Amino acid sequence: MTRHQISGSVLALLGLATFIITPFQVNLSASGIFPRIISVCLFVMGVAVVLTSSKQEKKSNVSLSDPLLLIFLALILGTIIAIRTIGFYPSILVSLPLCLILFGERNFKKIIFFSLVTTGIIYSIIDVLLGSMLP
Amino acid sequence: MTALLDNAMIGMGLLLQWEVLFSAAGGVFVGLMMGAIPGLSDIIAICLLVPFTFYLNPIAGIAMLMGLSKGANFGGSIPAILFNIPGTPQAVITAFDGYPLAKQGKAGKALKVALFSSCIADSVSDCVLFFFAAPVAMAAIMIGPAEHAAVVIFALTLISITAETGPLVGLLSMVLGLLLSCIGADPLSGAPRLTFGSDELAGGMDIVPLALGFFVISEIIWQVCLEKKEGINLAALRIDELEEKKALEENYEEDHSLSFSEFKKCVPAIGRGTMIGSAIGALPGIGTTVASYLSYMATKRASKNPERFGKGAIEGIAAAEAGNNAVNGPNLIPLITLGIPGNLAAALILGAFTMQGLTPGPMFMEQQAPLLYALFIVLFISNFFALGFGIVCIRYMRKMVSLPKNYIYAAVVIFALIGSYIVRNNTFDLYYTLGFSVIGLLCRKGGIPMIPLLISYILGSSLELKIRQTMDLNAGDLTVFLTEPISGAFLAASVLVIVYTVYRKIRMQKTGSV
Amino acid sequence: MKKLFLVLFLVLGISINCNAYPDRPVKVIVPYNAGGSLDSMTRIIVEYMKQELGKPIIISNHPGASGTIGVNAFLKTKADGYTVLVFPTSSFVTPVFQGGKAIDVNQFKPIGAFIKSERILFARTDASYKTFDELLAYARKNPGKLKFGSGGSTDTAYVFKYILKKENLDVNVTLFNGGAPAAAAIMGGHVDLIEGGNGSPGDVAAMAGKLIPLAILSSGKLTKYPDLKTPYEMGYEYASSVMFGFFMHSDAPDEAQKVFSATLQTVLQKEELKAKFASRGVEPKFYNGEELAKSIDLGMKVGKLYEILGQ
Repeated sequence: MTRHQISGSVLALLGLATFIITPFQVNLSASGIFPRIISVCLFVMGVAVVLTSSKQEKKSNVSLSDPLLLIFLALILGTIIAIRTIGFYPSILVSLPLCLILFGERNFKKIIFFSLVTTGIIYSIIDVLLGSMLP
Repeated sequence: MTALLDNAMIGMGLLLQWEVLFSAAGGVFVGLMMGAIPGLSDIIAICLLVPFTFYLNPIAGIAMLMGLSKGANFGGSIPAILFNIPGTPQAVITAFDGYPLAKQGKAGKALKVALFSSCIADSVSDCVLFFFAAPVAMAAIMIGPAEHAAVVIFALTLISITAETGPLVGLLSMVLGLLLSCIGADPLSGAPRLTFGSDELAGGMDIVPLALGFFVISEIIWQVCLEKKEGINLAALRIDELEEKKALEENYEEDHSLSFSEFKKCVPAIGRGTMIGSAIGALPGIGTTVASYLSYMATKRASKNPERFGKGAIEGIAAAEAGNNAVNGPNLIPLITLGIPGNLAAALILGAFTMQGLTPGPMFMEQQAPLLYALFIVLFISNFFALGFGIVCIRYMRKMVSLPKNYIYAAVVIFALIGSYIVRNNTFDLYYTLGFSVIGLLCRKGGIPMIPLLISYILGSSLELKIRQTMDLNAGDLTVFLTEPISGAFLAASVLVIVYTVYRKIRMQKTGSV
Repeated sequence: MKKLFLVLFLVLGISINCNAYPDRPVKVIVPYNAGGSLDSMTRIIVEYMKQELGKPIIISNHPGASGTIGVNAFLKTKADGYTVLVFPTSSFVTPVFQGGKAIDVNQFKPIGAFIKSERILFARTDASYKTFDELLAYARKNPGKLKFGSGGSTDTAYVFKYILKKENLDVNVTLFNGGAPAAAAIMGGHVDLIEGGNGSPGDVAAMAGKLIPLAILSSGKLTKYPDLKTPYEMGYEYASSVMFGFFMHSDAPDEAQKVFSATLQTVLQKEELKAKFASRGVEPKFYNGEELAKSIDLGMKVGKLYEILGQ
């Protein structure tokens, strides 16, 4: 299966699912017409792509189950949750170093220095401009 | 014509005040900086500064915002070229040929092409604005809901069909974008739709968090993982060491400067980009990204060696930058004459007008002609500010390729999160950023082109709105789209594009070339 | 002596604790984009109120979902009188037209309004009808030919639909999401009728003679169009009412409400402020909390039209 075929089938299924779910997710029936038409189109295009995809293919080197990728996404999710609960500045102070470590930096002094300076710059600019972000 | 000159003279008087020129220059500078930081874009800059225009006189305020747009249009191409991370959504296309050039150690050359193309295209299109605003205004009014919908369909068709993965996959991407645009609110009544009961989702997805997640964060993750696979240690990495290069020092000056003959090669691309950008700018609701993309595609098609594109062809950079900058000036036309913004920046600038008590709309040009012409002249002058600041910036920016990537990536991620929040003061938007990062990764993995998705997402709600308004006004009669002349023309053009592309594909298969 | 000191101390203590409102910055939540008409008018008013109150007033934009995102953000804040919502009264009932429930008015305390936006029905100058009655006659003779678009006020559109139903007329109706698209559509000949607020692009065009005002579809009269009748005067029971006003939580301290309301009233009498609004074609006027509440009620009444008329 070429990657286009995989994408095509996933999206065709998505189209089908949307078509079925839409009536339950609208308050006014007129709202649902366009999404349903589009989901039908998606289904059709998905199937078309599956059927016509040619064999030749670039393979990409990145795997979606790469642990680095998953950790990074988890880190962003964690940062967002932190932002929503404890605010921007503490969250940035914690996640910047974590990001840097994730990207391979090992020198702790540099990490801490960079994080503090960056957070400081952000704070001064945002406070100078307008109302602060989340306290 | 004499009326034009009269207004221009009065306009000159209005504009030659320190406040105006200072605001314009300041706007360009800030825009350049904001655009150059991926994670912050011109939209964010404009959002933040619109409230300040309250305190400035109208021309100064609007000139500042337009300056932000101009500066950011070039500024966004800086990180796009240097790191393949666009600083603004419209810089995505500049990265196609910009980043490969940077990898070859020729970042300075790429940046200069981008700067000169941007400024020339912007200046020419500002002249277009100056001379054609009034006549185009009269024509612009003929674009009603039906015609607008047809134009959008035409633009979407063009973009999907020309996707590099082939028309079918391009259309698939486009349809997916349309589907995603349905989540949130029904554009006609505002009723919540596909929100799965969440109040937050009913607010719809703002384009900024979306673009940031989709292009910026997913790009960073992708690059990080790609390099890990290829066994490169990011901490020690400089961008210009990615490709083998001999005698870096010898060719330094040549690699980083732009010779006149190279510039001459770009002129047709710039010309094409300016025309396409101006045309698209004059139509409401299409936008800079579309213009940039179509301009790039047009130049690629017209080139004798299209295979050079994507590997560092300077004409590609020129076309992309000319396309996106040429939109700015003419974009004011639908804004001023109809009160309908042509892209996101224009929508915010509309707010700045109303804040000053000016009501853009069909009467605006008649009643405020001197002010508007003053504004147009300031816009033209701002291009020189952009040129000046740009040249200075480039000198420093190209040194940035020598900075360690991991610091830049980490900072960009944080800026992206900040930028996503600031537009609507809403932390929930950060989830959109994350969500679209995941979608971006899936697209890269699954071979789905990202630009048709982005553009159809942007245009989706206005397409649906216009179609439904047309149907409401014509009691559900769909043939109106074909019988109205302008609408019919654009729909016919869409069909022609599809037919032509299919024809070319069949011909290419017959002659054996793949 | 000790007692005297005690009493003095208590009195001082109480007066220090009961610092006059406001003793810190006040936040105003605007549930729409920066630069929109509500936002820009609020900014003008806040500029002057800042000077009167002596404390900063910060405006925070929370756009989205026809204003409900901003309203929800407001409801999550503390009911201490330091966060205020600015909102159009017609928007309380908007969710009804979207198939949902109206925003619960009991959560809010109306403080005072600064603008009453009257909604006017406009037609093109090249139309064969020049008055409202002529329009009705034309529509009767030409069913299905006329096209109407609202200029951003859904409840006004429903009032118009009600009139059409009562008069048994067939006119195509759609919604535009603002005064500008509506004005552009009518000037371009894509619709025959629009409704627009006082001071909207359509009104600007009418004042320049490019459009004809036919009637008022909201509840108040306009001095600049003395011949235009409101729905009540024309015999219809429904009229829209759009007022822009400030709201606090229903259990916010009384002192906060009184001070804010009084300051608003003071500020709205300043000539400078009136001039700034005049350049936009609107007259600001102070309406107190009760009038504001009445405006919401009128809107809720129009909401019932949704059940009668459907989508």
